[in-house]
Amino acid sequence: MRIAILLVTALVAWRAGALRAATIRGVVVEDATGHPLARALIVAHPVAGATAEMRSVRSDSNGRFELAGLPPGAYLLLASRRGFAPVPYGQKQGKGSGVPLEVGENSEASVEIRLPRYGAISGAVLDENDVGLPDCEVVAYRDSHPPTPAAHATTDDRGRYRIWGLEPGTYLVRTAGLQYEDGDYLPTFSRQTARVAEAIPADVALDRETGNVDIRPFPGRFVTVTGYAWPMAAVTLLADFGSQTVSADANGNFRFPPVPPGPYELSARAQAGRPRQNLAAWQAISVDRNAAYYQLRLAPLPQLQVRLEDPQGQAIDAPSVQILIRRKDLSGAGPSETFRPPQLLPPGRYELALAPSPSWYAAGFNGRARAEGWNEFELTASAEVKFILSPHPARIHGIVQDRGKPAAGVPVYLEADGIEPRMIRTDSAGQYEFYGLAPGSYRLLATFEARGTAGSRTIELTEGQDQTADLDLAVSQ
Amino acid sequence: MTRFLLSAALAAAALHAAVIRGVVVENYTGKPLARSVVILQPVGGTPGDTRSARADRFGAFAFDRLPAGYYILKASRKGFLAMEYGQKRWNSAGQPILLRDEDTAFCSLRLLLPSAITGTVLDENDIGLPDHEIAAYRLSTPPELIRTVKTDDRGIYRLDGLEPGSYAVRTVGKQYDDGSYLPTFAQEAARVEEAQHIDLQPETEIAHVDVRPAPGRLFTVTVAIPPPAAPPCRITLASDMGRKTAEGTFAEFSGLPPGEYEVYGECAALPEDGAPLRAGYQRFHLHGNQGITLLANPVRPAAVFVSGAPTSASSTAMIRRKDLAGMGKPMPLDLNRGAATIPPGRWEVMLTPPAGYYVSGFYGSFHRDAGRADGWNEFLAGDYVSIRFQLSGGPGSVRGSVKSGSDPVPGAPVYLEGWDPAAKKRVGDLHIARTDNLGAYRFDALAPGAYRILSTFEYLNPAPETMTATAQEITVPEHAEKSIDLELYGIR
Repeated sequence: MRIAILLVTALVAWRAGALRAATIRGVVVEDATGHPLARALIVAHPVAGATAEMRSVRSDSNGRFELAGLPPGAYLLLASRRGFAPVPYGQKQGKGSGVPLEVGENSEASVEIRLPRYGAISGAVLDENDVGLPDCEVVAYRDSHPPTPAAHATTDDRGRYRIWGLEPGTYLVRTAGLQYEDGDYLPTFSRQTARVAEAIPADVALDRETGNVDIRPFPGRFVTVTGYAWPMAAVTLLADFGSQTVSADANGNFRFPPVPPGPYELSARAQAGRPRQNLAAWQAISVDRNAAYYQLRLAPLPQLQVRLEDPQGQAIDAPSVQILIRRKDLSGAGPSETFRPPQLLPPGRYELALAPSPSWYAAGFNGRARAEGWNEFELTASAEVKFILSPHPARIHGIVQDRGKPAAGVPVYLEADGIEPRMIRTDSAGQYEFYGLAPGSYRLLATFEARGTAGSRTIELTEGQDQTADLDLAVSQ
Repeated sequence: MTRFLLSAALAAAALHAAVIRGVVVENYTGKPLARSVVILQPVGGTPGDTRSARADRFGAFAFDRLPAGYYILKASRKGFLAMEYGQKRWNSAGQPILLRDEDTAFCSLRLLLPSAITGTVLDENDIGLPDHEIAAYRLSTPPELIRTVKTDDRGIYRLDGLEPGSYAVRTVGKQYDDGSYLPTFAQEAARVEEAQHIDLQPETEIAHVDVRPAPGRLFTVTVAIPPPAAPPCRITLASDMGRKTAEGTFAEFSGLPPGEYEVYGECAALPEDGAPLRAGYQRFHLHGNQGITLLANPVRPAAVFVSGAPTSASSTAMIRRKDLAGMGKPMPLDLNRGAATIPPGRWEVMLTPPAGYYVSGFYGSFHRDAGRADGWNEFLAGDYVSIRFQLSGGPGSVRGSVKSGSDPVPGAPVYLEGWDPAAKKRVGDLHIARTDNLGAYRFDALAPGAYRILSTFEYLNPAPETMTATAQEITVPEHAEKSIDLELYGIR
């Protein structure tokens, strides 16, 4: 009897769910040709505040997909496939954010998502007679300060290269130095300059190839980097365009094949003793023609300790504070991970950040006044770094409206000078919130379009201020 | 009379010098090729040593104060096929330059670009598959892996730097998130016999060699080197699709089709090992996901015995790794007091005996080839390696002259190939000589046995198949000199 009642109850619930359920169907195609994209991944994220869960599906061999049995609500759809730029549903011209797709009870929505390819830069590396130079490494740097490597390619037998997989933006292109039997070519920016400031940037857009970015590298002289580390140590020489590792000999001496002059990071690791202990060393070096011998002093891995203090200098115990760490080298920043001090780390350059918290904000780092975002430091020996935490963070919250109605799933950007922008989306009631903020001047913008869209609002925050800021959805004219 | 005149000319050479000037250019465009290496080799009997020069930024070069005589002129530059002056085709031998007293010769050397194959790797909807590896195989027996590249974001590939010849292209197995593709030959063939044959002429690019790889199941191999071996380590997985390497004591190789594989790993030695390195090797057949524990033991010094000659007579040896991906680069084998470092795996070794001796026997663990021992000898190295070369005294020699009709041919290439008639196989590397000013040639220190000999300008490095069609079979006796005059072979 009880089983029968349970069965009937489940059946009623299932029927009710089936009646209320919504379906999103669609097709994913290549933007340039309209050819269906098989095996594309489609992810449906419910807008915050809804009870639904994230769902995903792969398109079939005809590029079609179906997400059935969805609870009614607003969903952000994102389609991706290897080799293509991921596209959120509703994105305008490859810029800006996706627009939520509203599905009601028993409704069906049908969408087409067109995936563009990433951008590419192509050209040739040529000698003084316009003959292509083969096997030359070419690097595309994002045109930031300092430039950060984004992608690289090697020239073919004709000296031609094609750097692909580039997000839209501005890039600088540089050869990585080339060594021939009879002479060397120094790293040279397009077009024909050794200095970043004089390099000609290349604009990259999705589905487009920026061609004819040719480079005629300057002749010069490479330097052989030698030194002493530790018997049989693995020694790595890292530049912004790649790294190479050699093994030190039984006497601890190492020698790298010649490299172009410039900034490098030299590191070594080895094991010694009983029980076996990891030894390491790291040094930022500038290789020039006169100094190419380096002595690395390997030592046990340094320990990093993080001290948390209140503004009065008293140590505080704040177990809820999440500390993030990432390695930084000449090729850029590595992935971030949670840091639990104290921890043994290989020596080198690192960045630390505190995850935003409603209870604290980072008011200082190692004597620096502003500490939101990433804070860089060098770790060469065991050390303690210090964060000052203020228990009075500011907060901004409000509602985003579109023509007088709360707008769900709208990206809201918070920007301030010197820190990385933060973005959240409004929930199903159109509400947003930024917490854990330091006092200062901030710019707020709610838009589905690109972040640079006009219409941002400037807000001055004082310590501990709780600021309400309702925003109108910004739309470009 | 000819001899007298030439001798007189050579005697006068010291007094009156000649000059060779020239320019190296790109064959297709005529653009000067700066920094090309130019080598001038006097033919035997012409005084002077081999000289080399670099072309200047205009591609120009000059060799001055040259004695009269015959010279071979060669040019090369990275990214181009090396060439010899007077070559009839890209793979034929150069003609000697006759330089008389106070002559100034001007030579234009046009370097050819290698060839290329291009195409697209496509899925079922004609969408290019990015980052998909594709390999070019030379259609020899067995097919030889020459080059592997990856497709770009559009699925387009360009297999460049290929010498002219016959090729097939094959995609490498690839695993995607939701499925995988088996290695597939162009066009849509699983076996090399059914693959599209691509004939490459010099400086050509064969386009639209597209491949739609067949879906299928691929596997993953994990390789772990257990303690006490410790980093730095390198693990290499070899198959007929090439080699994959990983740093560290653990490696995961995914996207592998079923078939034969070899794995070898090398680690730095521990201080207590008393050995230069630790290493391990395994060969296996893959038919499912597989985990391999690769023991890396200290590599004990291999015992290399050379017997049959006085200990004061020193030999040199070369060794190369052999695996399913092909031959490794030959390296000198350190014969330091009879001990050498040979990590486990398959190897080939070749000994150059001291003067007056030849290699008459080779004995090694799991020695594969019972034929002649004067070429490359394959063996399988385990934890302990012991190999022995047997030397015998009294090598043979071959001498003679090359004539075209009744005229001696100076500077003619002569190719001598050690030949195993039973196995129908080349023994060792091809011996190459050029005739001297008087058309005479000579090969010494030869192991007795069967050889094939050919003199021709038509080929630069003739393959065994070419030798079969054109060369003359001879037998070199022990302790003796064989005299054989050759007629210059030419294609008419």
